[in-house]
Amino acid sequence: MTLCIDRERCQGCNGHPRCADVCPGNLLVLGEQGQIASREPDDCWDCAACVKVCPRQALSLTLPPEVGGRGSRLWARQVGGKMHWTIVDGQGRTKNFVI
Amino acid sequence: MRSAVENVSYPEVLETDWLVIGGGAAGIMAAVRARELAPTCRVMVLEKANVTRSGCLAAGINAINAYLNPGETAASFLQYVKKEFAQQVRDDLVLSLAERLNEMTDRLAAWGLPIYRDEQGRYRQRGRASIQINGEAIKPLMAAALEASGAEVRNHAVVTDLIVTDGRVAGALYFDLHTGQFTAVRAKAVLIATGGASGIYQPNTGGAARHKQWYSPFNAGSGWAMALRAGAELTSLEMRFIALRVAHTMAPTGTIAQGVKAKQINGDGVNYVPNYAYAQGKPTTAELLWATMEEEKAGRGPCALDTRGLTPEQGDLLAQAYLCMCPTQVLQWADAEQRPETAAVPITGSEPYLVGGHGTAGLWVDVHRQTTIAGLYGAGDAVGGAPKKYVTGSMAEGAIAAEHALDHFLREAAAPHPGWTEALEQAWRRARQPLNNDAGATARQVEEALQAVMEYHAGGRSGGYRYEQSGIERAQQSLAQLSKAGAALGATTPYELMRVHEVRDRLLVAAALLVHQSHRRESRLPLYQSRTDYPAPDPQLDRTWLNTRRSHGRADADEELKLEILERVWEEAVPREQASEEPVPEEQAPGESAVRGGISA
Repeated sequence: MTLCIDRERCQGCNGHPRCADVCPGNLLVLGEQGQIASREPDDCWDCAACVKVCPRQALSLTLPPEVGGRGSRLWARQVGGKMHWTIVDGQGRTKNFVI
Repeated sequence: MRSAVENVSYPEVLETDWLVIGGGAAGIMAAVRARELAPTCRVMVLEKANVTRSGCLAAGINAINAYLNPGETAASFLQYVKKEFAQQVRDDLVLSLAERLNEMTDRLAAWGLPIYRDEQGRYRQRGRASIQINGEAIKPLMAAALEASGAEVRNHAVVTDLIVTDGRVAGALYFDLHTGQFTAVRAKAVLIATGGASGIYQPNTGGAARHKQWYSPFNAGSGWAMALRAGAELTSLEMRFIALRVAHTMAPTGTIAQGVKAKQINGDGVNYVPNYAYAQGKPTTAELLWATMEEEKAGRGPCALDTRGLTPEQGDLLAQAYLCMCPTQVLQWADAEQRPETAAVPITGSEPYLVGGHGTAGLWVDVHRQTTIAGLYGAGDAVGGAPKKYVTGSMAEGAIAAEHALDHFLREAAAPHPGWTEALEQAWRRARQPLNNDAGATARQVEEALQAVMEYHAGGRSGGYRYEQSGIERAQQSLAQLSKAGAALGATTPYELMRVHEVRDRLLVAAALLVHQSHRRESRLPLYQSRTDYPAPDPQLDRTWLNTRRSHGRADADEELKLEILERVWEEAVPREQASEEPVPEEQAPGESAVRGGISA
């Protein structure tokens, strides 16, 4: 699974989750707890479309162990006309990009 | 979470003029062009996901790779494309789109796409036909232009079949992914802009990384499958596209190879590219892939792009370029505690894809992008014969199709469509058939079985991408069995119904691919189309195009579709000697310069 869903943060956007609307694989749905869930976690393409629209930074990407992933996470959010990217590696070190 | 499809009611019937299937670069441009030329024209776009982030451009893109830089012409672009594809391209298609590449680029700029500029104010060149952009938001910008055009957009609309009456396209049938409700759309002309096909071959990595592919894993070849069922022709499926990509992340390599002119080195640190003989002196894209796989085979892998020695600033610029296209590459660097300037970037061949934007597989069309069915058009990755068209070429094809459709179909009074009811009934029966099947195997299981068959017998990565006749025949036998498994797949939700149709479409496209592979008894393009039993090109097949189409009868839910192969000889629209001999700017030698200009945030 490459999409991480933060159960503490996701509130399901009052039943109208933008992430589910934009996923190019139609993979995301509201689960029974009113939070986002993936129908097939293995089918994520890592495009980050959902990550970029999440208003609560509840979604992030990680690398699966199948390709040697060690737990780093990537977030993105739109601020004004720029995309703000944050990567936190396994040791908790943070790297930011603004593009 | 599971919305069952219950009590499916008879499809509602809507009317439009220009029906566009697929809301990617080609489909959006086709819709926008029709609306701007004819503001009263009714245009409807049906998109399986959401036009804002659907298709190949979901994550963005960091270069426009089909642009005529100063000194280049449509004719010189054609010459370049022909060299890359062993002369086997449709001159008429390449020339007609090449003439519109810069117009499409300017259009993207007008839609708000940030394009970097050089000191003279020109678009900043990256490679011969390439310019640098900040394209993270290219798809939302296209979607905004589509909305502004006044076209009607239906997102999460899964098209299952075209409706053809009297040899002319009459519309299409789709279902809504949320409600499961079926809707038929009558149209005067229809465009297939559904992209190419991934998932025919086994992905390089499995499990949770199974979709870590370069090409969109959601492109199931559905437009091709529905075109085959409707009686249209597909061309050159045997000319697959295999990408040289960053190992594990499948991130594009042009960002590094063109962006910082990094050399390709093998596991011994040697630049292996000059050690091979190439047909034309300078290696083509396919030959670079071949050389890399030969090094791996000889035990001199892993190969890599040598980014060591870049400055930290250049490393950050590369990271920024990847964030705009393939963000997991940057995540991978952080995760492995590496930076591009400290470790070479490993590269390898991808799983094979069928895609008309990079290779030559796709719908067989005339210069106006009309298929062999009246009123049915194609554009973009779905169209064969015109490789290396990429984003701007796909847009150009959408515009060309829209212009011709306007002149020949869209301004006519609506045709009566004799036989509509019967054709719709047939399409609807096929579309909902999986809802009647009992749950058994899953779509994913059948899809993975298909991928295993193609991987081992039909030129997958593990066999060095080459194949031979006995393997193709074994694959055909296995596929016949798998098609029965596909026909038995059941669905209870609209999402499952989509997945079942996708795997059935992939099975049909794979069956057509095997017919092509069986028939072309030569090796024309390194690894893209390479056989162990016929290892050399056959000059008698120069300019011979292999096409498949439905052989006879009607495609029915219960009836297996039979395919026939046609050989079509296509004369060159522009004789080779007349193609431009104008000087074109030589690309800088690899390693000659560092980041040209770099990317400014």
